[in-house]
Amino acid sequence: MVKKMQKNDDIITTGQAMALVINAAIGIGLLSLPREVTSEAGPDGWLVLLLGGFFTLMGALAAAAIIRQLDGRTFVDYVCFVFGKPVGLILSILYGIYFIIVLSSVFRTFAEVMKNLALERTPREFLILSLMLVSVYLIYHGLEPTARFMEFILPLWFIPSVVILSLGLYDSDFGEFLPFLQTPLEKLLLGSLSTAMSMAGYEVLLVSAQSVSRHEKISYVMAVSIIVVLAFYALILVTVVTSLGIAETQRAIWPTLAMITRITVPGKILERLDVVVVIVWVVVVYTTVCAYYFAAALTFTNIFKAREFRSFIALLFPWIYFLAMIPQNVLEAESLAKLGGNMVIATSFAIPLLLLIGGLLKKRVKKDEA
Amino acid sequence: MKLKKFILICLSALSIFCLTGCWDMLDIDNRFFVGNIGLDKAEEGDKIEVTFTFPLVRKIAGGEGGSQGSGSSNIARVSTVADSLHQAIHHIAIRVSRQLFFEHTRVILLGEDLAREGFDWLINFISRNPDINRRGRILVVEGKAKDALAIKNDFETLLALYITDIFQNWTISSRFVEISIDDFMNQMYTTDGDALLPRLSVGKTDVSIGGAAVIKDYKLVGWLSEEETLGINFVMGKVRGGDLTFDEPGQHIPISFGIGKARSRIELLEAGPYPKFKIIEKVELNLTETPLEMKVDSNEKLKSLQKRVEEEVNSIILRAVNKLQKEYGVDLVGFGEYLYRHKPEIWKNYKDNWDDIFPNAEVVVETEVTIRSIGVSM
Repeated sequence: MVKKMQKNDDIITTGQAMALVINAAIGIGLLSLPREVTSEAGPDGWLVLLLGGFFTLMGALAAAAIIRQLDGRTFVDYVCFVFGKPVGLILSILYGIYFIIVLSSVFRTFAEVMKNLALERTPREFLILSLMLVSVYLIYHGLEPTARFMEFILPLWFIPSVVILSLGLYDSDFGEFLPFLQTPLEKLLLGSLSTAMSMAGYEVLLVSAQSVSRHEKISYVMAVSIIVVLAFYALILVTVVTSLGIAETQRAIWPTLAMITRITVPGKILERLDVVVVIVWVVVVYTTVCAYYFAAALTFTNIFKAREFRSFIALLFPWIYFLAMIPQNVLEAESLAKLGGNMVIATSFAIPLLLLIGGLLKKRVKKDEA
Repeated sequence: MKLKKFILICLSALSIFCLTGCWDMLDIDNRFFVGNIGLDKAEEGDKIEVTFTFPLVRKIAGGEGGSQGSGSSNIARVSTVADSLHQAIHHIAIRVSRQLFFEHTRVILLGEDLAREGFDWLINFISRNPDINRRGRILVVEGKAKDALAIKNDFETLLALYITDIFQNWTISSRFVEISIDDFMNQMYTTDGDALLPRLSVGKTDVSIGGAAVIKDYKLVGWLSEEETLGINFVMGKVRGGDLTFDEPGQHIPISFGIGKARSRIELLEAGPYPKFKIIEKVELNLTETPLEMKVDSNEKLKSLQKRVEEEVNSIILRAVNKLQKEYGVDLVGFGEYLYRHKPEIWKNYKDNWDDIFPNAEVVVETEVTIRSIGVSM
């Protein structure tokens, strides 16, 4: 039914789906992730990261299995089908709220970082509003143009940031990762949970799965994107910890930024890479918010079974903006991001898993009846 | 249709106001680029005396036009007394005509008196404010930082460049501490306030960097001489060049070596009530000066010379480590870090009382010297 409503060309290819997941997953997490994992596990942070990546991969594969069950239904329809209408609607609204919280925390963190990095006297309101308007402009045209943009922009920010990060490896001290395995197991597991929050992003694909062209390749899409995201985060963690040291990584609000602003290449050929970083940062945030904004609008459209998702873009706009303006300082903005991160446990792990089991059971019951 | 066109034109005209320009624009000619920050203890009370110097670009640029005889300096210097560095910036801001800009600050100088009182607030200030350049240098001045900033040197127009460029001679002399603000911050966080900083001595028309200031718990507790600094640099594997010179008994001029490569390793020999460490040092040297009557014409002579240098390096290292142990009681040679990283089980027994254990740790040094070249004469 929803398919009819959308234009025929609003279908995304496998590559676009991958770009969508990667772009959605790599967002503000890249700035704070080194701090989170090292405060949980110190020098064993990289283990925490790998564990978290493993959990994320499991969650993503569960989501892929759900997408294969959809059969042209929307995600909201499927949730209602499995859990019954009232519970299904509540869960779908939870997803919508989750997307809004993540969005506003990303917008807010974006503004905070920009104020510290480059535009000291530009008001937050202006930074947030201008980025919101630009993202509205993109997603207004639907999923296919959005995903096409993601696919196009991905190498443009991915390659420069990998180059910059590798520069940071010069003259770094890998001894920072010693001693090995001195962290208790429960701390490792707990830490990996917070890592998994930074790597989630596939729930965006889950709710817009109605537009993915080839459902049989979806597990492949998920696996490749999560591995790319994991590798990128691993590179960040290694560079930051080896150049800042564990103690300062735990103390800085955005350790990744602290690391990048001090990269010097011998001979002073390259110094002050801040400008490149600002550009990359804006693009990274832009792709993340576009993915989440679209997901939020689409979720509410499906909940209300509306014909036009564009009106929901406009309807959500003030809510996202005001939520982003609520935190009074950077610490409160952090706790807003934490709130969104905690909801990931539900939206990306618990609900997909329950949904998968419930859906399979329901299918079997139906078969038996037949 | 015409109306639509009209509205479109109006909109695009309006967009000029919000799409162009930069909110935070501050032209380069409206800034003063602070090159040095000097921090001293003020005469009165708990206050600090802050000195900034910044180049007057107009004068430096105009200097080529022939106005060199004007006599006034190219560099402006302002000082103020304040409670904190942040307050000092605001004090000075109302006295100068342009905005102060710290992203190109090259040097932070700490006066001796201030450093002895402690400067943990400075660490906090630097880490909290991202607009301080962290690729610069931080040094402790023997005397007052203010006096060091008043030096008129003949080598460089800019004092900040003069000081930072001395650091590039690190490969020629390993007798000072090569550390940037960034590495310093990293170390202060890791060790919670212990570090070695380069020492700056003030001359009449120049400055010299040599030796080290020993920082313990964010306070200056004493100095290391140039030779002791060389010893510590040997242990830390930070020697990249420099010279080794010592008297040969019975000869009227000393023997000189240039240092090629140096590598070092720490080993734990015993983990009793007090640990016993072994420092293994591998040094490559080039013979550069000998008394004329001393001929190095056989391998045996070279071998005995190597032995002689090995003893010399051993004692340089041991003297330096012993000074840190007995006189200052601060672990700046990385014994604790070595245990933490490589022997975490053993470190657990020591870490609570490390301050008492470190001074009593036993240290042996084993140096292996290879003389790579003897020049083109025997």
